[in-house]
Amino acid sequence: MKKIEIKIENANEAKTIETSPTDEFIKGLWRQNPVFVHALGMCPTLAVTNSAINALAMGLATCFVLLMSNLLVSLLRKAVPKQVRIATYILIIATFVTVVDYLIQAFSPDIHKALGAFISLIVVNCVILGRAESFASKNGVGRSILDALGMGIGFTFALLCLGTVREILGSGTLFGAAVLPAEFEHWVVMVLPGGGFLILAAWLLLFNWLKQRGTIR
Amino acid sequence: MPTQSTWHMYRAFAGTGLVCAVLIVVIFQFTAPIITANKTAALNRAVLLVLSEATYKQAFELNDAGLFEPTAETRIATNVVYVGYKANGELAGIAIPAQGMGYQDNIELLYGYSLSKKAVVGLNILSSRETPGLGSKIADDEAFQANFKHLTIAVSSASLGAETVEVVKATQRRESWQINAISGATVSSKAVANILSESISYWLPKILRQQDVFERYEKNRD
Repeated sequence: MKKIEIKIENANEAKTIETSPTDEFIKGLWRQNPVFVHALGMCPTLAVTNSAINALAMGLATCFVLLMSNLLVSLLRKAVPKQVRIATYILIIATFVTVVDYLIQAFSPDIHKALGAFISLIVVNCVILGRAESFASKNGVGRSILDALGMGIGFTFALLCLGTVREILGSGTLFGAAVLPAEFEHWVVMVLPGGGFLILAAWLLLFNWLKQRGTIR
Repeated sequence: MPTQSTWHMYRAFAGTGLVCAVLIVVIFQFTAPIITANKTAALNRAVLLVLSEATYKQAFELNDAGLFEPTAETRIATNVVYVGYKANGELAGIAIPAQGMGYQDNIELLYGYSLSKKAVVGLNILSSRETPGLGSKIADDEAFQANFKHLTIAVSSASLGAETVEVVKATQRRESWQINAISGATVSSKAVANILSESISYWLPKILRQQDVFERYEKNRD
């Protein structure tokens, strides 16, 4: 079990909190969801969620990059001096984004066409650099992998929340299959950037309300 | 904590760089043949899409002497066009690859030109990195695609130059050389028009002068 020491100012004794490995994984899904709680990675969240399949593909690509970069950063954490750490982390992240770009191009040209320039923009996704800097550089490989998985799945979940709603309202379909009757007038704003902001705001409202209800009870 | 020596910084940064470079090269080498095969398959599909009457195609390369000769070229090259033939051996049209600058990045497209109808009869976007949801609609918006079912080129009577495709606001197309732009994607729509205009003014004179080469090739096949 890992121990974190917290010194309370006026107390004479230090309190320790232990976090279990499972907790590292679970926290990324809900309690510390990168999109709904940390508000990181807003750019792909708004840009590529105009359909559910795009949201899923972007989420999984980000998950892969997050996992591999957390792994490598954690492996190298003792060998990287702090003066060059950001540059080194960006180097690692950019490498894995290039790798995922080639892999998507090779195994799914359709998804590559759909995501286009946004695959390359995964490099500047704050979630990845954020986790590398605040977690992977200070923790062991096992925990870093769990953290990456939790954050990655949480990010994909957030993107899917937006993607499904935007696709249903904006195109009447879900993963390409029609779910609303043809008479339904598509809300075109939902597939435009403006719709992304509106739906994100709605979800944030819902999540914060749920959190507040939880703490009052 | 003592200051890290410069050697440690170089070692970390350059060492990581080396590992990353090797990783990228390995993945590139691994995926390159798959990507090329994908692009060839997409090109084959696209040729038959833009020339709806064609049943088979033959690539023709413009050699240094300015003459067309048949080639087994399967990738997109700047001097290769694809002639489509109908089942009975007649010319269905010519599929010409073209590219140019879009709103964000290069757009690669393939269009079919029918010599008998003297018009563009089909368009297929091979690759683009336009804004998702806006410029990306040039690839799949039905109203935009309908522009290219029959698009004539405004030709000046004097010579075969100065072909232009005119872009008008959506639903305002009246003439056969105009195309309806996509609302919210004006730059991407205009980019497609420019790419078409430039490509046609380059290829059409050459094709028209050597039209018999394509017909003779088909007769010699039998």
